[in-house]
Amino acid sequence: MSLTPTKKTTVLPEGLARTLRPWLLLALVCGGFSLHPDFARTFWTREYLPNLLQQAATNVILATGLTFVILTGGIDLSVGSVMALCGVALGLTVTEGPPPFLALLMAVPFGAIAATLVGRVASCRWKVEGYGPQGEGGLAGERAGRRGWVRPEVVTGAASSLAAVVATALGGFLILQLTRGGIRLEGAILAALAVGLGCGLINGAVVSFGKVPSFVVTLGMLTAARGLTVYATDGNSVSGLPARLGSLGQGAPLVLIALVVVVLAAVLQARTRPGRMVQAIGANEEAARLSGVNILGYKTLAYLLSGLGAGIAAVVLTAKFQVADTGAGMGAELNAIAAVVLGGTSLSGGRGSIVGSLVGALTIAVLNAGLVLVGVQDTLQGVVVGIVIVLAVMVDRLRKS
Amino acid sequence: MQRKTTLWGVSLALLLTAGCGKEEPATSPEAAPSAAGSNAPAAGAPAEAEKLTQAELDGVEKASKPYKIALIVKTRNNPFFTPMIAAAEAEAKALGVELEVQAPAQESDKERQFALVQDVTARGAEAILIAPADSKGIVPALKQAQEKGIRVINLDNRVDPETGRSAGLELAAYIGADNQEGGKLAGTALAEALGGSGKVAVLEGIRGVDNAEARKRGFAEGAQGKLDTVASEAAEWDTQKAYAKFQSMLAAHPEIRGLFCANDKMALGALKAISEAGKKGQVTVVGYDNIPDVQPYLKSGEMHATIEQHPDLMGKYGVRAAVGVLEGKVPAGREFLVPLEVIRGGK
Repeated sequence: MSLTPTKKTTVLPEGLARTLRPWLLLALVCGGFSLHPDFARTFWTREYLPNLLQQAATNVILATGLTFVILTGGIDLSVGSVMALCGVALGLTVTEGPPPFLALLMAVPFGAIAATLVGRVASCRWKVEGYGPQGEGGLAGERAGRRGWVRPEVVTGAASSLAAVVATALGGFLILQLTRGGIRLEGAILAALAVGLGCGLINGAVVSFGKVPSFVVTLGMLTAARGLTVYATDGNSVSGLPARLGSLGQGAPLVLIALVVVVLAAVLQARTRPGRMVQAIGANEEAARLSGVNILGYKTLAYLLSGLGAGIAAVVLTAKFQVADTGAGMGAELNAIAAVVLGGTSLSGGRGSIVGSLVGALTIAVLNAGLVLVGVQDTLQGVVVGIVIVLAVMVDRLRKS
Repeated sequence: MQRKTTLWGVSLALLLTAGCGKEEPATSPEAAPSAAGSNAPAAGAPAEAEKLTQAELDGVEKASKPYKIALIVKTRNNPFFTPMIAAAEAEAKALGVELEVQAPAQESDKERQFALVQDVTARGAEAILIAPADSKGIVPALKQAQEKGIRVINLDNRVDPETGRSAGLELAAYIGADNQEGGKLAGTALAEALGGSGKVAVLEGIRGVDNAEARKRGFAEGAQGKLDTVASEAAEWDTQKAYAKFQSMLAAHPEIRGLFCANDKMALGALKAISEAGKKGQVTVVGYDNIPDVQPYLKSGEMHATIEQHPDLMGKYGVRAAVGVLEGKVPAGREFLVPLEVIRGGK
């Protein structure tokens, strides 16, 4: 396993090959299908190609957020369910105002901000010297252990938790008051994104601070978010959404949103410190910890971004169908994971890229569309997609070993 | 070689985006008045749509050429669609047309169904038969198909008339069942079985959804003056939910003598709750859909009756309507409601 994930991988031949592989697979899939006259005639047209991008958009957005989590070596199984919950949050907020528990969930990001601020202040107060990451029991923790029974990480932890609870409760109450009876569409979109952030934060906090494996945490969130979605609406879908929401879910705006998400995420991942730290954690968590990387913070950030992705995907999906459906996004997490894996991101973390996930999602979209276009029976399409995904990763592995 | 691939990929991406910029929003309000002026009421209010007669559809002869027709259903995992697909395939063969069936793996996957409509459109189908998973959301995709000259025939679940009209969608035909009529048949059958009076309960589908509401309305109509509905709850078409809901309903109202379930899947759950409560034979159950899973219960008499809405006829007449419209032998924009049937169990 490489200990130098922060190096610019694109200058190395191995890195170049890695970057190109998803493109190569996409080219192979497109090229292979193009041998079939029906595909060649219908696919490469100005009418059809925009359809393909629109078909892929939701998965592209989900996969983009998910890539951050997978780069840390974790997994987020909850994106599909969280997407449904965010969609319902959007629908309810714009029509009648969210139920109390959704308002609380929207306030979780405020709780996190409060906790971080209080944590900073408290750790400054208690940390004598050394740069041990806060709450981690690093150098500062050891020092304090010798000083008495009050350990600084306990104090900072308690103070931040208290701040989080108070801020979330207050924020939730405020949101509930402000959104009563429904609010403007812009506000409702923010509310949906806040629910995504909230779910992501809960995932991230339990994974990093609670030390629970991400598979378990996000599996729990998958079930819980779906349950909350049904609970919030009694299982009914939410309709009666403003017509102007519809424009976000189709044509150029839809594709533009997906592209902007990908570009921003790609810059964040490849060109900023948080992005490199997320990757470093996945490459070798122990090494990253020893070199003073704030593991807990950056891990939480990854799940936060995944939740945000689910929130954005929820907005475009709800816009596309003009209805927030409690059954939306069932199994969407698996499509997103497939896109990330086809995009060359390693499930054990540390290696991969956002652009790769985009290409992976496009590959899946081309596969799905191509099988229909060449007239493969619908019952067999899933089988072919499954085989291609496994084969692609297997070839990748065999080449390496 | 690999560099070429990247260039190719980048130019593909650019090409794709460029193509997108030119796309018009699918819902253009100006399309509405022109549609209203044309002679095809199509996606208009169902009550106004003129009826096709069975004789008209039966009169459709073997197609003059092998038209390409696509049938897109909600999913193959729902036994409701199995006879629809089989009958449509048989009818296509009989009329000498090519039928292609497409379905998302999951009923809730509306995005996939939307994509499937776009894909069969690109493949050059001449008619699309669609049982929409989302009656509003599917409209832009159907409009795209219509713009390419494809005739759109709506089966089973209605395309939302309001959304269709404002998008300028003109359905070539609607083939479905009258859910209110079916509910009424169920109400009458239950009243008959209970000897004209009694306390009953209802397990509804999803509240606010067209067919669920129509069945409930119809049942109330059929039961009016005879049955006393003491409890009515939504179990959302789901066996598990129906089981749990009917358990508590039985506990709260031990006097319940009859039950109408708006689909057979819910009836399965309710039957389990009844037998666990030791009330086998004391509650008369009427379901809806006549799915294979309830056949043993009908045979044993544990379930009294169910409503057959003949999805097979929807498939059959869907194909006949498509061929008729394509050949110009059947006027476009009409609807045909398949006959319903009460299937009674034999004790």
